[in-house]
Amino acid sequence: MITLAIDTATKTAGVALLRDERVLAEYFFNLPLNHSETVLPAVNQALALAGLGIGDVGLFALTVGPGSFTGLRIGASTVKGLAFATGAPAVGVSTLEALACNAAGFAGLVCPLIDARKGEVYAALYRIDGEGRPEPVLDERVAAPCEILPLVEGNALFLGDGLAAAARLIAERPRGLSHFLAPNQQSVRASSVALIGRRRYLRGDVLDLATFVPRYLRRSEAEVRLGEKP
Amino acid sequence: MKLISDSREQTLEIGRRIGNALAPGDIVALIGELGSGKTCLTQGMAKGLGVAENVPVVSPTFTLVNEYPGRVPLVHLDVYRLSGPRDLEDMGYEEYFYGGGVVVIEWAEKIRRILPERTLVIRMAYLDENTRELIIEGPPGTMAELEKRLESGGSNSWR
Amino acid sequence: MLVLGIESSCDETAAAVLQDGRKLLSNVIASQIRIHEKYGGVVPEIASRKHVEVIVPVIREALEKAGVTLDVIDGVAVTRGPGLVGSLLVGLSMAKALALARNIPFVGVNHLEGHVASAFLAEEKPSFPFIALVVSGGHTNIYVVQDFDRMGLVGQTRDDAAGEAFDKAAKLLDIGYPGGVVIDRLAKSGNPGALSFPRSMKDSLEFSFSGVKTALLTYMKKRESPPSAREMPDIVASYQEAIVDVLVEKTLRAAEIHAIPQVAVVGGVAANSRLRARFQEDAGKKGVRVCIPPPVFCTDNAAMIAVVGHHALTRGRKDPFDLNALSRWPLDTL
Repeated sequence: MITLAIDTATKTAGVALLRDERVLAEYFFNLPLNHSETVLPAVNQALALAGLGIGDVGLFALTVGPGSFTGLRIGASTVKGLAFATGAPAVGVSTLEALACNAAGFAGLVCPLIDARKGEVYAALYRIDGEGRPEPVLDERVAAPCEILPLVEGNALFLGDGLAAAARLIAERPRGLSHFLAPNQQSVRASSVALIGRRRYLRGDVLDLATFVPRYLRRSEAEVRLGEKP
Repeated sequence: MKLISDSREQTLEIGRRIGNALAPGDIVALIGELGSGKTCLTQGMAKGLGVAENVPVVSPTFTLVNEYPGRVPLVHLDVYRLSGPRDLEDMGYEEYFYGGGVVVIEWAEKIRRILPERTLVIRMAYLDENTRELIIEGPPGTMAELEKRLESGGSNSWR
Repeated sequence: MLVLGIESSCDETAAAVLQDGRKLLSNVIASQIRIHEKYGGVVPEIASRKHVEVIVPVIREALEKAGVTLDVIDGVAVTRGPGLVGSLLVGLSMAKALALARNIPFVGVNHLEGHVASAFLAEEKPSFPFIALVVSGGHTNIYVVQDFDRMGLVGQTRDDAAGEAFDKAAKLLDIGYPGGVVIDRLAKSGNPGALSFPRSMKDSLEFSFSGVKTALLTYMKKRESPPSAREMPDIVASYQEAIVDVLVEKTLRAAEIHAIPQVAVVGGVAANSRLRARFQEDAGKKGVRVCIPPPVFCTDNAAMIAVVGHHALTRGRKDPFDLNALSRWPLDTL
């Protein structure tokens, strides 16, 4: 089965094309461009170079959040369109879980952090099993790093563009218990999205095209304020 | 600094002189009720920033942001429809704060929390049909420059 | 040729199917008015969220009502701007994906050009050249329309748009949302001559509505007590009349100056009943033909986007997949 995965959840964007668990093509962008300018051209090119048509795609996978609201909506609208037009199913993947895959091989806790601005981060905790699959330890949430760090005990690996916001608190942890990755391992890889998505699909976990929305984790500010009114 | 403008023309002229004094990266927060002259003052600032005369500087309420090329580019934001600073952040608009243009923000009280410290704050109030009060506060350097330029209205004297 | 139109530039998610540029097979609009009502205006983040939620059902319904499937659609037309970028990107991403998946062309359409083209959805269709008044919450522009992509701007607002003048007045008077609709309704039982509000920029095709807004503010400040429910119709009718007056007068003057005895009145404010009546009346006296589409085509819709798309597609235009949304996109830069 051919899986086409797209990630537009953060500042970076990616597209991956897989045949079963084999990556055929993978694109990664970290450019000052809108994801709408990069992702669809990449999908088009990946398919063409692989000698495939969109009709050959058996599954669409995407990061449904958390992340930048506009980015999430570009991804959701794009996948809704592709899946609606082809009839192939779509599956949603947590941005944090996909990011955690970069830490495959690490034995301790993995703490992906995505910048949520205003001193907050999107975060969760995982352990990676022997086959590179993240198992959730702490549900994803949006919070200040000072609320996240006390939940991380023992040997832990921190990654993602939310690292800067948490750097001071991480530095206060006991010596030798914090681990990091190389600069090119700090962003979501679309191939991870494809692999997680494929497993979900095989478990029968697909999205309803007509109704699914990104997982923002935050209400819009207008809604929050309205809720505060007496 | 407190000024009283007796007419739309004076508000434009005050705006023009403020615009003359502004430099890339400056942020101007406009605070005042509907009809207190915020767009009019911005039109004056546009002149002072060298935005071409034939380019109308219109209300950005609908599109939230209008950009105009000039001696220094003018970014005119209207956050009237936003609920607060987070809406602005969600849309990536705080990037304008560091984009090198002069950023003028109408209804800035809605996003006060994320305004940089160097922001020039202008409070505008309706006194009567033609008369408006302007209270200007900002970093000492900018204020000194403004006082020099606004010291006298010339023949167009304001109080 | 069958064109699927998609519109998501502000607070309406819309889709339409148009056959051969003239026969409208379906026109579906999911309005968010009820959602934004409680905030007193369109909240961009909430609008964008709603677009993602409803876009597939809206497109599906448009196809079903037209009695077609995506397989027979020949091209997709989508609003590219001007508008709220976050909202525009939902429709644009959807349109690109549909076009790629079906291997059909897509074109990004200027929303203002869409409004001008909505004149062709009126019973009385205009013929080129004609004068178009595009009047909405974000725009008040007069164009000389030579052809689909040849529109010259001859007049525009120097400050607020007419629709904005209605919205801000409704806010000042605290009479509800959406302002234009409430004022239209209340004004019907009011006397438009009860109060005198200024008409600005008399000898020009340029508009300015900040003066009338300030005049209303002054009137309210001078009052000892807030107006009663009985006084309100006269106030809004008089205010509305000041805006309608300049819209009608300047548009007809443009027709006279350019010797084009045909005008189209389009955009959300063209749904205002007083504006429609006054145009019919005054244009008739001057021997000018006037085309005003039914209100459903005045407010944002995808049928008008499909009309423009049809013409672009028949000329062989095909936009690239890296097309981006534009918050500002003046029509004369087409």
